[in-house]
Amino acid sequence: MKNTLKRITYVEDEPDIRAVTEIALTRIGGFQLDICPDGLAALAQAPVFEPDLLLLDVMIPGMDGPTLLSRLREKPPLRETPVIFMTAKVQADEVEKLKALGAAGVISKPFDPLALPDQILQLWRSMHGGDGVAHAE
Amino acid sequence: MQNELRALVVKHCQTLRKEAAAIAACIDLLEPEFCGDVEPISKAIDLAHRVKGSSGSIGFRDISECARGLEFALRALFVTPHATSAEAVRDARSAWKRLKRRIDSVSPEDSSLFTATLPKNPAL
Repeated sequence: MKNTLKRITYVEDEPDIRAVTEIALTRIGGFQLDICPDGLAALAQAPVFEPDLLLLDVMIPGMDGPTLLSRLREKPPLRETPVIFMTAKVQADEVEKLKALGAAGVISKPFDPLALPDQILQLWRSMHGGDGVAHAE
Repeated sequence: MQNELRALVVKHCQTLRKEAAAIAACIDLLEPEFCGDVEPISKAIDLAHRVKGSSGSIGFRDISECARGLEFALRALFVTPHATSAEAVRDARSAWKRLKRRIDSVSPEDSSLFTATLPKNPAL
């Protein structure tokens, strides 16, 4: 696993959330972003982009986040790429299910976009320890 | 960047009105006593869930809370015994009225992002 976070593949179907996240992660966070509106786009784009991190919405039409993750794991460049899920279902059992899939963390929706880059960096660092759950203020 | 955020907030106000219209179409199909017509309710739950996540992330926290209330009230229809379903329907309609009233009066300036002080990335 790389130590420096620079490239993120981001999958989200809701256009307004995609837009605000893009502003936050590129303009505030300074990350390079590969934006995918659905799972099929992610399966095509992510292996080429070779991100440091996968940032996946859980409820995306056609193929949910966990299913998408299992399909991405079949791609050699993405077998060990860390993943963070974003979800509005933040009950403890839901979070545990996502972490059991290997998620480095879970970001709850709604989130504060201005704080999102820091939340992601905290989770990135927590891969070396910490609970891996970030909550918006 | 502030201008981009403001343009997005303005666009989201339009999105909210469209989503409210879609929820209204589902709620209109809700009978006084819920008797298991699942499809419009499931659709309304999905829409309320979507509004909860998107509006709150674009600075409209109060709308997000109203949408959360509607989602909760609609989900209750599926677990409420038939004898009390009329009350559950009333609760769902009340939650919808609160959300609708708030979306009907929404303006971009209501979003916390509209006037937010933006953090600066020292690397940029």
